[in-house]
Parts: sequence; C-alpha cells; structure tokens
Amino acid sequence: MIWEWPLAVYLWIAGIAGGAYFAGFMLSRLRKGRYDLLPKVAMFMGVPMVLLGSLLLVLDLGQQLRAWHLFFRVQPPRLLLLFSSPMSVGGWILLAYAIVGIAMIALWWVGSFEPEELRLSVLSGLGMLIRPLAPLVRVLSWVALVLAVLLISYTGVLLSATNQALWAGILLLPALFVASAISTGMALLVLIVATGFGRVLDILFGGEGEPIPGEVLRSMSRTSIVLGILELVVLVGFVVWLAAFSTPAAAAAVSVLLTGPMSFLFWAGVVLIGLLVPLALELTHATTGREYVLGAALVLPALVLLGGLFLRLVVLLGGQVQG
Amino acid sequence: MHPSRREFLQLSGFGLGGLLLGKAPNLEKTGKGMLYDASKCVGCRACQMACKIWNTLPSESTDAEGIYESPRHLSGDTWTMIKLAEQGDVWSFANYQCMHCAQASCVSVCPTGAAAHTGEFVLIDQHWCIGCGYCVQACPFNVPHRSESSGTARKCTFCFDRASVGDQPACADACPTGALTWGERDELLVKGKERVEVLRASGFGDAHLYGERELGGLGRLSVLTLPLEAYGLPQSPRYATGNVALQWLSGIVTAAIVAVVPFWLLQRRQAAARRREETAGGRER
Repeated sequence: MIWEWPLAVYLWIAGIAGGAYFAGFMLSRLRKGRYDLLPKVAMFMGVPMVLLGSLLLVLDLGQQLRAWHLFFRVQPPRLLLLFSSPMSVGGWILLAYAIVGIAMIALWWVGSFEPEELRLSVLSGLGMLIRPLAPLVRVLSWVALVLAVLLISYTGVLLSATNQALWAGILLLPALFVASAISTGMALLVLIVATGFGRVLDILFGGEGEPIPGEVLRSMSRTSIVLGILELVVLVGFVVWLAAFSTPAAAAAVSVLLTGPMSFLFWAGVVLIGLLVPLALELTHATTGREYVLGAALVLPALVLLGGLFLRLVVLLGGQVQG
Repeated sequence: MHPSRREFLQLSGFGLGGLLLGKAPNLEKTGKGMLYDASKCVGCRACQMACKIWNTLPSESTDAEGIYESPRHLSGDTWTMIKLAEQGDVWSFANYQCMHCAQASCVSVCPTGAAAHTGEFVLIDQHWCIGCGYCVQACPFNVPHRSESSGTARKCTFCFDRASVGDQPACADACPTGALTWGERDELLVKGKERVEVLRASGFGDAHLYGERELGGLGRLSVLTLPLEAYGLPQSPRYATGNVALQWLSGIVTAAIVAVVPFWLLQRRQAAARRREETAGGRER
C-alpha cells in the first residue's frame, strides 16, 4: 500500500476547508446580511487546514525535499488543465487557494477598522498599505468560490485518474467527495458558530460578538439535513453502480467495503455514525421543533465530521486492497 | 525530454478536439521494441538476474510460498521477473516487465514530468521524481513501484544506457532460448504474428499476440500460449487519465446541484416564510 492514512486525512481536511467556504459563501449570498460571518469563519479555518493538508501531502512523498518540483517543468501540451496530471493541477489549486484566502482574511481585517483606528492597530503599516485594496474582497470571494469547487472536486479526481477499480470504475467518486466535503464543511461552520469561537471571530472581523440567533442555527441544521440526504443518495449510487453494473474487478473492489476488511469502518463509521445517526437526530429535532440545545449542536456536526474522515479512510485504503 | 514537433501538434490537436471525450493522445509506436515468446521460455530467470546485475539492484528477501515466482511481484528493486501462468493443469512462464506503452498512464499522471517518453522508452527521471506514488496507482500493469532505498518510483528502463549505444537490454542479452528478442518493433510484430500462426497450427489453440494495439501499441510484444486471464493481463488496459475531464465535470456538476437544492431552494423558502410572518405581524399591529 503506497498511499497511507495521512493522505486520507489530507483529503478530509482539504474537503472541509473548500466545503465550508462553499457553504458559507452560498448562505451569505442567498440571505444577505444574516450570514456574513460564515465565509470569514470558513477562510479563517480553511487556510490553516489547507496548509496543514499540504504538509501531510509532502510528508507522504518518498523525496520530501523535492516537493518544489511540483511547480516547475510544466510541459507545453500539459498546460491544458483538464489533461494535466490531477496532482499537478491540485498543487496549483492548493497554492492559489491559500494565497487568495490569506489575502481575503487580510482585506476583511483592514476593512473592519475605521481609518483612524487602523493607525493604532498592530501591523498598522501593512494595514494602511493594503487598505485601498479592500473593495477587491468582493471579486476575490468569487475567485475563492471557483477555487473551492475545484479544490473539493480535485480530491476525488486525484483518486479516479488511476487504475484502481474502486476509484476509477465510475464517474461518481468526485461527486461523492464533493457531497461529503460540503456536508462536512457545513458541519464545521455549525460547530464554530454554535460555540463561543464564532463570537470571537466575529469580534476579530469587526462585529459586536453577539450570540448567534437560534433561528440561524436552525436554518443551518435544516440545510445540513438536505446535504446529508444528498450525500447518502450519491453513496448508494456509488456502491450499487460498482457492485451491480460495473466490471467484475470493480465489484470485487466494492466488496472490500461491503463485506471485506473495510466493512466495519464502512457500515459503522461512514453509514451509521457519519450519515444515519446525524440524519435521524436532525430529523427528529426538526419535526419536534424544540429549541436547539448546545449538546446536540456540538455532537451532530462532530459526528458528520468524523463520518467524513471514515469515508476518506475507507475509500483510500479500501481501494488499495486487492479485492 | 521535450515532445517532438509532430507529437506536440498531435497533442494540441487532440486537446482542442477531444476536450470532453478526453481521448488519449494517439501516438504511433515505432522504433525499437522487445518481443517475448512464452512458448520458448523455460523460466530459468536469467533475465531476472541479468536485470539485477546490470542495474545494480539489491536482492529481496522472500518467503518460501511453494510457488515458482520469487519474488511474487515487481518492486522498486525488481524490474523484471518470471511469473507463472496457470490454467487448470496447463502452465506457462511469463516474463514480466514494463510494457513501455505509447499511451503511458505513468507519464500522464506524473505531476513533475519525471515520467516521460524518450523516443521508444518510457523513463522515470530519478532526479526529478518526488516519490508521490501516483504512477504506482495509475499503471494498468502494476509495473512502477516506489523503492525504499531511493524514495523514488523505479521500473524497467529497457536498459536505455545499453540500447542507446546499439547494444540490447541485459535481459534479452542473457536469454538462452531466444524467448526475449530486441529489435525494430515493426519487424518484431511480423515475427510475432508468424510465430502465433505456427503455434496455432501445432496445437496451441489459444496462442495470440499481446501488445500490438493496446494503449496505442506496447513497446513490448508478447506471444502468449494461454488465454490472457491466466497471465493476469488486462484485456483492454485503461489509460488512467482517459476520462479525467468527465471526472472533473462530475465534481463540478455535483457542486452546482448542491448549490441549487439545499441552499438556493431552502433559503428561498425560508426567506418567503419570514416575509409572510412579518406582513402578518404588521397587520396585527
């Protein structure tokens, strides 16, 4: 087995980072003024996660000190994004996402000051310098959306451009990872705004640090239900298609998940902990219409996040077991 | 290292034309090649030893598994080996090494350009390889492997250091029965087809030639006496990045669906509900 568990952790946290921004951006665009904190939270958490993930990628290499080779010697015909090595494309996406994310955080931060206040703040020199660029953050937020979609798609494409039957058998692996990434990203947002950390970040970006209204949390949890159902549908499609309508090699590969060495992690971790339990709890909660208690608000997203990790582990390791 | 002008034009033409189909570049396999004839192979493993010696590859510790193969698989330190193909009571040896495909998956997935076509060879530049393992996952024949000692992916090079000065690869040089032949691929193709005819006429009904058209033509042609499955070779080997454009599309379309279904629809409904509440509240006041 050449790709070990650190790569699964990387696929997981890169997915969360991109998915959280995607979810945060969508909510803040669709309900203007109510969710403006979310894309900021997503970037504030996402940039370190992307950097940590890249570090894990580098550690997994056979020759770590040569990681810079990824960004040199690009051959002319390979400039076409779609036909280049997905890993090469992914390297550029990670780099661009981190740079855009850092720029956005900096611009949001300077934008939260009045001009006179800025002079008194830490890093005031840098702040004064980049302040005129603050309106750029609108453009960057769209650039970041495109990069986030590419980032979360790439985690699936990376695996599917191989000759391992579980990964390459059908076109649904990128779809599955995208659905899971947005679901886990949303869970991260819920986890942060439901705790005091969200209020701290709010103050950092110039807000009042007021508690997040229960209505916002409720609306986010409704969205999570639909995200969970979508992910479940894609997962069922992925498994059934491989098992029933694909090649014998793919059927053997998927049996590693369903009945083979990965079956416990798959059924208990991915299906039960990651999908069915959070969905059931959320649905019960939504139908009874009770006020959100903090315990539930923390446990549910934590389960979804764990399920995302189990999914990456099962797919990454299970794909390399000879079925 | 750089693609020739003709290759470049072919590649760019394909890039524009096959944008969504994601077809593999259709390079013609020419130049030197190897012909393996399983009907002449006695499984002496002279090829395996000659490869180790010429390329100064260390030996591997293996367990006695009661089977002729030793070691059982190619690795970063074993680039050529003898496999045992069985079908019922009938068995055959099979020399196994890199196929040097025209459409090489290792080349297409390599993120640094370390794996590349150089004329008739597919080589992994040991100074540029970062050991990411992508070629290991992508090869349809499971040939390249990461070496523990070098940290890079390594595989058969067709002994380019010998072949480029007119010599033949060490394995072919060492073969005592003529089962491995080095030469112009066009000529080897004719020779292989003739051999298949001879074998079929003398009772080997399953005899066939592997590698003429697979993946744009393999640099290694094989005359095999048993059906393909017995050798563990894929009937139609898959070019790893063959449908990569559709895979990207799969992810992007899913993101679009998610943007519409949970977010747009749900939020619009909730916003509408809130407006209704507000107007109702206004009337009460």
